[in-house]
Amino acid sequence: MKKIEAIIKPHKLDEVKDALNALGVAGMTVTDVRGYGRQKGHTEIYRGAEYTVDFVPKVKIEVVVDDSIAEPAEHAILMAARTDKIGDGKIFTYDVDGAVRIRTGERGPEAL
Amino acid sequence: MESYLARRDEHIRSATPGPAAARALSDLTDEAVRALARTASSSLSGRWALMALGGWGSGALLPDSDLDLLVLSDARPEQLRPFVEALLYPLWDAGLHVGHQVRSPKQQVKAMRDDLTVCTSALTARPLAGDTSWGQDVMDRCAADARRRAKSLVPQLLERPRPGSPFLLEPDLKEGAGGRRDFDELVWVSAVLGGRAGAGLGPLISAGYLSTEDAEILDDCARVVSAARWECQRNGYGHRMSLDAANELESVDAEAVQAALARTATTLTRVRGTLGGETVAAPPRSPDELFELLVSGEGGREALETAAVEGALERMLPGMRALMSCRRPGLGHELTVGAHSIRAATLALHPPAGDPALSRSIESREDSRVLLAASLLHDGGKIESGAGHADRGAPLARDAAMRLGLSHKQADDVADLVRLHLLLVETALRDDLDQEDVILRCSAAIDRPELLAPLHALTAADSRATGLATWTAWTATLVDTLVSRLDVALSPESDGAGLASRGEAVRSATLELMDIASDAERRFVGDAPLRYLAGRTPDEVRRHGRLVAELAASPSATEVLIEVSDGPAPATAAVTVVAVDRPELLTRLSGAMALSGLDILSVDAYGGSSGIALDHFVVTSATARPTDTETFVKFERLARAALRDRLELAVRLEERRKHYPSRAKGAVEAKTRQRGWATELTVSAPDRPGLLHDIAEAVSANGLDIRWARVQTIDGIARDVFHLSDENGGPVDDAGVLGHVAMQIRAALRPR
Repeated sequence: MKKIEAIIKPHKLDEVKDALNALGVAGMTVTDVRGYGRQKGHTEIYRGAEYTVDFVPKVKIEVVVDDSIAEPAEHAILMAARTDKIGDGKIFTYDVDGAVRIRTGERGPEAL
Repeated sequence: MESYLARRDEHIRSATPGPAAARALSDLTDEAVRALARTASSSLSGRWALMALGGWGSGALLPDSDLDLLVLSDARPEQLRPFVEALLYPLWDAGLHVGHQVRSPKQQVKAMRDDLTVCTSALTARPLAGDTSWGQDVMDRCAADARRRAKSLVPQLLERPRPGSPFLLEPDLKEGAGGRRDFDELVWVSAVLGGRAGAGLGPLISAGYLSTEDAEILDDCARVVSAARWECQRNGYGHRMSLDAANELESVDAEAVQAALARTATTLTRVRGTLGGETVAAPPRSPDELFELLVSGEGGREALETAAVEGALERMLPGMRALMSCRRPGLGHELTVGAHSIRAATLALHPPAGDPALSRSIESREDSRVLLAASLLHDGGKIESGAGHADRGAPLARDAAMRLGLSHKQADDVADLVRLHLLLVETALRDDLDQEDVILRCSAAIDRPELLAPLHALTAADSRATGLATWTAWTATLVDTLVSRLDVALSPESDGAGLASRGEAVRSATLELMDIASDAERRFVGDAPLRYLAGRTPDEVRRHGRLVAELAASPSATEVLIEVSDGPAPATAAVTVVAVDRPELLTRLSGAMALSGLDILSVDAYGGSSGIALDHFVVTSATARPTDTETFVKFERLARAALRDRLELAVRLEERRKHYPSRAKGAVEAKTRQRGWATELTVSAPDRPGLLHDIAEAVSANGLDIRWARVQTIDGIARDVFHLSDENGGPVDDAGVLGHVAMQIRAALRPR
């Protein structure tokens, strides 16, 4: 099993969700996060005053999938979240040692 | 016990929820406990009495209620132990939750003095078994003792915490504000004032703290809450009326429960104030007083809630009482519609710390009353369920604003704010704020710049009043960014609203013209940027669509398609060039134009979303020879050569400049600045052959791209505006790079 963690632009969430649903990835954890990578922050000017946005709002998606669909899932996120602009985000993939569905006690891929 | 448990289960399952069911469960339990007590007391000598306390004492036992028992006796402890054990073990074994106390009369008086919980549970005591008249007599003495201590005891009772709010959509029906404990508190205070346990609300009425009408309303409220508690408990939802419980339990009228909780809570608040000698805030009697309370912020909220629940705002705001119990859960809402609206209005002028953009919006509002009224009225459309509450609420808000004494103009502003109150947050969370069209469309929806600041303040107040998790630094950053960009778009200089309206009108008209068109043509028109559309006629757009579709069918990086038509003025021509988008495209095309003997009077350059760029030039001949077909054939040939890297543009332009020196004079200026969603470069310089080429080359040399350009030449002076993007298509944030671009442009354009 693999855990895929993607940091994406907020307005891309629905497209990414739809792309993962289409692959049969039903569950995901979504968190509102703020951060920066190469994008750094940016400066906005409002009513003549300048202010800096140090941390840019992003959405973090976490899904755990069976090894067999890890690559398609990663590709689906990549295609759905891409705008070809700086700040499109990152995708990280990790190995997952185990999973348990608490309600039923099922383990491994069955618990996903 | 088995028989009791079976009858108890059957009763809980089948009874119609309400006070009668609770009374019947009490009676059933009384009977079982009396039977146990009779058996257990057979060998007990000395006086004893068994008292039911708390809710059971009041005859209001619910499915999950504890059985609170008091054994009063003057017998010695060793004599009492077998009796108590014989009484309690069967109850424990039956799985019932039993709270028990064993005391002598003297101990009971002392315990009531020392412990407020013991005191309150005994204020509803009821004799069950044993020497009941002696037991009642002991409890009357305790109540009389409490009455003597009323001066110190009542304030303690009034300090009881009341967690939550009666307007919560998932209220705690027992301990929460407006729940059973609020009613109990009135009963306890009444018992202390009357010196009599189980006296009901009578002593409070006699003492003038409560009207008979209030007492009747409270009894009705207690009945509604009791019924809901019974239904929630027998279905496993416990003390909280969760959203699931409210949805799934058909017999629970959730809005009636909200109304009951609210009325109980506001009544207790008023009684508390009167008993505590505080001046109870009078309900606002005029719009001025209403706005005064709203301006005071959080401090004015409770008085407004009370006034709304008790109907005191109905004259000014008809329907406000109904909204106070109106439930529209969704989107993180924690409160009823009316309570949410009051909360939003009391927050509207008080921004949280650390949000400078919001603070500036609130400080720069032109009219507090418009903002406060819009905040108070923004969800009025929710009185009807279903989508579209913002549109439904706008005309209601206009009428209400007029009733609040606002002018027609102010009322129109309120209506517009109500109609738009979801726009900023929805756009900020769902759309790409780096897209110019997103900002332009949003500015077109707002249309009037003066609405932006109050709309920002209303958006924040609405979100903050919705729930703790709704207005976070995350959301605030996105909304603030959108607002700062809209501020630019709505400025007279940008006229984003006008641009978007004109653009959309051209798009619609073009689509109507396109009876027979390929998908690619339709896609071009559908995706075309508003800035491009706003400057074109529908017929032009249709022709451009054909060109783009033709190139898109077999794209080649070295191909250009051109279309030439008459220009807007005599001796000018309009040249549309379509090519696969690439770095330095504008540099090469403008160089080829100059080498073809054409002066560029203006150009609108657009990078298309499908990878095809479209540049629209207005040109004139650089010499006295008029332009003709040959001129444009030459341009097409040179443009293709430039795209194939087979043209030494810089060298050829330098040669041309020697033959055609510039006669215009003037300073060269090049400046960059951030303009909301775009990085803008403005250049002013005396015109000369290849000017646009040199500017575009300086931009490209620094790794930047021209996303859009507007070139104009007036009286020999070129005044050009460019929107730049970095290699990734985003705004350019690096001040060093921008400084370098400006420096290079100044150096390249300086007269030699």
